[in-house]
Amino acid sequence: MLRTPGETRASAYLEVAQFVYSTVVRLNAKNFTGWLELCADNFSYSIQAWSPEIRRDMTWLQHDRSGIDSLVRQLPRHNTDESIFTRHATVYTIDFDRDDAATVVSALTVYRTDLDGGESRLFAVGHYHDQVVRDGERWLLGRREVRLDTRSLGIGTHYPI
Amino acid sequence: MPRNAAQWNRTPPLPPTHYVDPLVYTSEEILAQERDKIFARAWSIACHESEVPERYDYRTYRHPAGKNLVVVRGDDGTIRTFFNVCPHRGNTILYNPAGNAKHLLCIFHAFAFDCRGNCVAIPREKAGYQERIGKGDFGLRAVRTEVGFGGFVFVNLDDRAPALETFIGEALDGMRASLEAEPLEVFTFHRAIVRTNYKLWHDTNSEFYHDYMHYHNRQTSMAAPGYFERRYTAFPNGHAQVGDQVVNYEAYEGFKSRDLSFPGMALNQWKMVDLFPGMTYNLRGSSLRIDTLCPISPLETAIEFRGLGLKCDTPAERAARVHDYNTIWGPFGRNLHEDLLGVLGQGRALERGQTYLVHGREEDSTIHDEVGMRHFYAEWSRWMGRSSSDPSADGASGVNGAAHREAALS
Ligand SMILES: [Fe+2]
Repeated sequence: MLRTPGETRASAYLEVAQFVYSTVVRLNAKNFTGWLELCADNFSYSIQAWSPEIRRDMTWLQHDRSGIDSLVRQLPRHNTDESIFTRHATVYTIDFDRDDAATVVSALTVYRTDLDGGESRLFAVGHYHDQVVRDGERWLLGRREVRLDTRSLGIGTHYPI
Repeated sequence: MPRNAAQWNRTPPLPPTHYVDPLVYTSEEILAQERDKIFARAWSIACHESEVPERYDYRTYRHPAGKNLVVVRGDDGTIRTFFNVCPHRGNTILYNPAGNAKHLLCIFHAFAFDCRGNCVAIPREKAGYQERIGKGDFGLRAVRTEVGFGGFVFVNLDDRAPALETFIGEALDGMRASLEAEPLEVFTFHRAIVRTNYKLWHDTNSEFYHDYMHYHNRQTSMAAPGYFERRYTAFPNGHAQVGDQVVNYEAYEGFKSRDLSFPGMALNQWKMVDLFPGMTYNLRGSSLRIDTLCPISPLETAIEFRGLGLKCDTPAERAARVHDYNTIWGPFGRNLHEDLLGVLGQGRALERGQTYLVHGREEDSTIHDEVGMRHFYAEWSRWMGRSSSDPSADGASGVNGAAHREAALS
């Protein structure tokens, strides 16, 4: 079936947005290996924040693909707060650099829910700045920068956000 | 063998120097006294000089004695500290944590102060105050300030306290050359608010027996040569140093030997000093971590973490230091989360049912000896005028020891 250019564009937007949401679904399920399957071989991941206290940009975590693979592989060996982390993302903008590559900015809130009693509290507010690339029929994460507004993170976490 | 209530409440069969009463962590009255007797008299790190690099730069600081301060670099380059409080109606003067301001202006009624703490403007001064009171009476409260030991801005609320050099003594001698060879620069800052007592964080920094909780440290330190030979050195005024070690970072998957160190330090060398009453210098070769503490309530503490490199770092060097620091010590680092989880658990347990905390290990002052904590509490007891193992014993507190403990422990 032939599609108009407008229809093609709308479906590409939808695909990319759904892809970003699928990364969130896997992270929320603590399916980190499944999340990595949605990441390109040259994937890079970072968590950054601006500090008004020291008036500098801070990089709190930065890994290439093998670094983030190692991090995920070693999670079970660490003592970790096993609370549930629920990321809520809303895709704000999708800018296609090419037909097969886009820059996506999503608003992000993350809640931490205690296992004991189930109390939920806001953990962090920020944005995802993603580079997504098409690989045949599917999309992959080429880069994810988590930009956090929240800098007071309690005991922190071992998990990717 | 499980113990019944009477057995559980009995003091441990150790000298009183070797355990701490849980009241020391949970009592409002004791915290109030710590603010007056310890924090209001001891030196505290407010920030690093690199946080106020330019003239008229300022940085606010919540002091653990409960005062809000502001550190200001003057027109003469000197760093001074004042209460961040307008002497007119008690408002906060500077709301942002850092910035640059030629005049410190209180937005409430536009009283203005210069960078040396003088009141320089009062709107319609003569019309309202005539000659009765004026700018000369509205100077800011200056707080003693000394910059040193790696460019840190130390402050003391007590105008009669001994000088900073006297207070620190020789405690930092083992790393001082590395701290002072080059100007340092802060590259990361974060504050963790944790439901725990501030001393429990300092305790964690003062003992290495808890390395069993750190997968990373078990691999890279405990299994490396020299670990069990590391010794504690106790210094006057409650400070303590842990012996150095060369860390084998490659024993943890994904980590590699550091490419950088601090001046005068071997690659991968680790040095650590705890300063009374709640500061830690933690130098893992390529980056320096500084912990400072501010109690909010007995079981709520703000812990501030700073990471530092050399001011002369190239961008590539800085990136390496940032990476080395944050993979272990950042809010998403492998070790920090575990340490914070540990003290959170202590805070939770102390809320729900209390026990004596045992500092009983004696191993010739080597790494799993608990002498670092014992040394801290001996000093704490001196400053407080009460024993950390039986804080209600002097009767002056108004805490009825037996009754209170029974209620607390049951
Ligand atoms: Fe630790």
